[in-house]
Amino acid sequence: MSPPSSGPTTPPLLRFDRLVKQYRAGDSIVRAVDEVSLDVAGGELVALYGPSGSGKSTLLLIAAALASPDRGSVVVDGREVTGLSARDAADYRMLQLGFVPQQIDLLGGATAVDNAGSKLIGMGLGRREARRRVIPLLDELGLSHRLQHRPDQLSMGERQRVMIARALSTDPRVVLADEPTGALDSERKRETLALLQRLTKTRGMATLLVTHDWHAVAYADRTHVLRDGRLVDPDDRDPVLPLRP
Amino acid sequence: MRAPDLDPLPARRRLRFTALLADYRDRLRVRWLQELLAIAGIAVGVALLYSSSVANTSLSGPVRQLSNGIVGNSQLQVVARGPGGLPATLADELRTVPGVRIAAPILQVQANVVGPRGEAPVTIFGADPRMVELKGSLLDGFTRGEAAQQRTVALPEPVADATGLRFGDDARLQIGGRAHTVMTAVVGRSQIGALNDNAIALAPIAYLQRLSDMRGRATRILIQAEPDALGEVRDALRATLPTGLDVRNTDHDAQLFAVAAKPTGQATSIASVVSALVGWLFAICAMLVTVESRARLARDRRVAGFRPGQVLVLLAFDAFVMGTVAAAAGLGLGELMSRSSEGADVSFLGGAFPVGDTRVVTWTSVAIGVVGGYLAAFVGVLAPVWRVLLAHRLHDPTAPPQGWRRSIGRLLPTAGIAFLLTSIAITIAAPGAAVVALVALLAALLLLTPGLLWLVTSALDHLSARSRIPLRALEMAIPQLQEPALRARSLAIAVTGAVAVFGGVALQGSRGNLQAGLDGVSQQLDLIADVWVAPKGAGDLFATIPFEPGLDRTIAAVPGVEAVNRHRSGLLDVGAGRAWVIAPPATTATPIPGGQVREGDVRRANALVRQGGWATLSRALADDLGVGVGDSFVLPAPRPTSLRVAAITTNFGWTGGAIVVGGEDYARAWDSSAIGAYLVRVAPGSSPAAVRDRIRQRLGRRSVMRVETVPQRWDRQKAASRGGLAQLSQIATLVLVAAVLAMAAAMAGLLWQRRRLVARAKFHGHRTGTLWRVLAVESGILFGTGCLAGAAAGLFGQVLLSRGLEVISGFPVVVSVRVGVAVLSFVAVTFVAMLVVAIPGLFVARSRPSANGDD
Repeated sequence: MSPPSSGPTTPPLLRFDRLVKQYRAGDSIVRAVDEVSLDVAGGELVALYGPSGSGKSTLLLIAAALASPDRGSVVVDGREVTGLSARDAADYRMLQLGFVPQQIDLLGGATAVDNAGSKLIGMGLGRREARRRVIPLLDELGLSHRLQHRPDQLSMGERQRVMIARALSTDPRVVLADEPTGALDSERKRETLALLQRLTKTRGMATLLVTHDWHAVAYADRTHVLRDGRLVDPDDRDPVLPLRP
Repeated sequence: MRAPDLDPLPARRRLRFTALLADYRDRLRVRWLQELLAIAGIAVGVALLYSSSVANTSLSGPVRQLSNGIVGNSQLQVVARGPGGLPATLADELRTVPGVRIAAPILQVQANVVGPRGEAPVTIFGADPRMVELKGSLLDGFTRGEAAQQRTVALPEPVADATGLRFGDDARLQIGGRAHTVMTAVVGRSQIGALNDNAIALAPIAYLQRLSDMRGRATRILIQAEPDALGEVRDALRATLPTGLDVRNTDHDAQLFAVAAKPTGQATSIASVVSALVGWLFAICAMLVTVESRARLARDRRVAGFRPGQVLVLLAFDAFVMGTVAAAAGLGLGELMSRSSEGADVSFLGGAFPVGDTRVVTWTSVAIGVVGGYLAAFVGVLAPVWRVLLAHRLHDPTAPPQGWRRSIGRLLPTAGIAFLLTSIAITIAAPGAAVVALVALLAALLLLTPGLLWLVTSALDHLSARSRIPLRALEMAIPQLQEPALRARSLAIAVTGAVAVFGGVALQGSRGNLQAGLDGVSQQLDLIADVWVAPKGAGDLFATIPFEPGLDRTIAAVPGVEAVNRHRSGLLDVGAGRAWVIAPPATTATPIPGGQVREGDVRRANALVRQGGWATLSRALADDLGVGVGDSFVLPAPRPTSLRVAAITTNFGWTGGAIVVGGEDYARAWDSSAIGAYLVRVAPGSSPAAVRDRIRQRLGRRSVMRVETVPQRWDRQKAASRGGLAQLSQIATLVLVAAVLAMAAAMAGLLWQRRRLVARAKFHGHRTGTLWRVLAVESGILFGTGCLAGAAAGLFGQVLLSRGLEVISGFPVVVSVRVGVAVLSFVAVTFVAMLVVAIPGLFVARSRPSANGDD
């Protein structure tokens, strides 16, 4: 049984309630997610730490309504998002969710400002209006001098910041970040994590950071450890997990 | 910090056109080459579709155009069966039939116009002034008075240009064995409209009657009836007219031509389908290079929160832009191809129909090209990403179940074998359903090629594992070919080669078989003499321009001439076709060409035809008349004659059907002494060429007769029949060229995406030369496997098409397997494609070493 989630007393913006996800592998059933319950409040950055294959990414996909759980529910800002139609799930991801994927995938032929504003096109905005909305955000992220640069003219850290800007362009309530520092060097990792931490606080977002990098948990308000699909006590002595920094 | 003073996000999430355009432009910046390749591929397909459609329309267009231009508003025509025509004064009698508004006679004569620059065969129309009232474009630019007062032969501008004649010049007009000097007028589009492009001439009927020695005669009488009295007029005419005259609709010629040109049209259509399929595969191959980036875009947008419909619009915009550019480019390319190609040459039908050299472009042809282009673009863009578009959940570890892929993997070869067996069964049991068998064979090829590729790679894998000699390039290439992520692209390349080589081998082979059959018949027909003397002009191919004999003694007196006989032949509307009737002289030992009898005893048939009262019929004619060997039938000649069927034959290469009768039967049935040619037998010891020269000298330079030896005649006939099949050859070649480009482009794209792998391989110590060889081996296996499958299927396709042609059209086809064509196509396409792809392969092999494959 997973340890109960602990957190602040304000109502959570993101809640996982006894989530289960399993699949068939040959003759056996594998539980990718096993009775996971978790709350994240507004203004809180929660890290979900675990090795590869622990179920972290599956949890994120369920939270983003990109995969369906076999049991349990996900509630975002008081609204259940499991079982939504394709159209409603798209609206949820557009308006309430910001997703920062692991792979940096910007349009090579578009500038930083247009890449950041590409999500807003789906809201029916024109390019000009989209730029107006994201320029202050890019300024906040320290990219005001790189607006017209294309991805091949940006550093990896700068590209990741453009990805973050894109995720935040619709002012979401919840942010899911899937290994956002995986492709960065140490310096850029620290910069990016600090940025996420600051934005979480200033915008009052609920941020769930999935990582296998133990150093990333230093930036989190809380850390949960996932192993074999289950949340475990981070203080448990486990030869697989390193000691806390 | 949130952005200040911003309007709330709009409630309606409709993508803006300007945003779509800007987004497409951004994406185009980095993948313009792939898009260009994809557009080029679609454009080639559009060009092939369009030019094939124009070719098909242009087959029957000129005849229908001419027919409509002559008949105007008339609905019926009274037609004479024989070349002697009917009395022109009959029109005055027919005018008195209740319900008849206008009755106008017209005389139609085949002639040769000779000018300072050359000669041209034409159909001269002798028009009665009453035809002006029928409002056909032939006399549209004339009043009744002008039409009556003309004393010239009016030529359209193209004919005048070809012969070097100008307004007022004297031209030499050769009609049926006689020559006349006539003054020419030149008319253009303003006077005769689109008929300007037909090989025709115009003269007053009285003038033409005098020139052609047919005073008081007409070929037909055009009838305009009161609209609500058409049926009664037709019945009244049929009841009134004497034997030897028929009442027909005015589009009768166009219908007969459609029948005559049908095999050419069918062959062109089949070739067009194959070429369009290759063009489409070219497009798909090229677009496969862009699949990955589009799939990533679609997935990324859905993760970001775009609705499925919005992602569809985004991709559909891509497809629309590509389709529009490709359709425009394809139509332009197709127009060039259409103008510069030989077209489906139907000049071999010129003796029976007034065929023109007009390209007829209709909106249908344009629509076919445009719709084909858009279809290829939309399918190419949307089909590969349908799962991302339609999936409710994009990332689900439990889906898709892999089992369905394995099921499909087993089903494909089974279905392929089933189609192959179906094709074989149809070819053996029902060769008339050749088109169905062809489709089944094509389906079998598409379904079995993946299995063949798997077999080849497995066999090579086995070979390299067991080989004592290290086959490093092979060992490194095979895992790439077995890579699941690249399977779709590899298969597309192999399948493109397979379909193209199949098309090329099948078309070229069946064309060769048909050509061999046609050549055989012509030789047999011509061998009844050593030297032929016949009038010049259109139709002399079949010696169907009748003329009154008078040169027998002149020719017989030439030294070296042993005997001069008379050859009769003509065209006769029988059933649904315009049949060719041949009447060799009674001295001919074998009037029926060798190898053409399909039912009946050939020796007995020859004897019966020579005896008289018997005739041979080609299969289609016999079926139309409902008769078999030994049965009686009435030959619908000017004087209907009862004959019995001596044998069933092929159609001797004439699509309207062929009839062989004795010379006396012919003379009696046509009630005419006119002949088609003199047949000269050369005395033993004399050279045919020398005798030919002496005859020419005796007849004089200005003679209207063409004197030629049998080999010369064969060469002309071969050229004409090859012309009729030229477009097939052209399409087959075009298909192979398109395949080379398609495969090379797709393979180059595939190799280009290997750059990272190659960079890593070089980091680990592999040399450029080795890696280049690996890429070459990979290309060779893909190209070679596809082309091999296509060549093998093409050999069967040759037999299938040849048998189908033989049974459906009655053509004299020599059914054989032309292995040389298959080997040549296989080697040429594989080798050239490998050469083309060697260059991008070298660039890829020269990638800089890199640990993680980054540039």
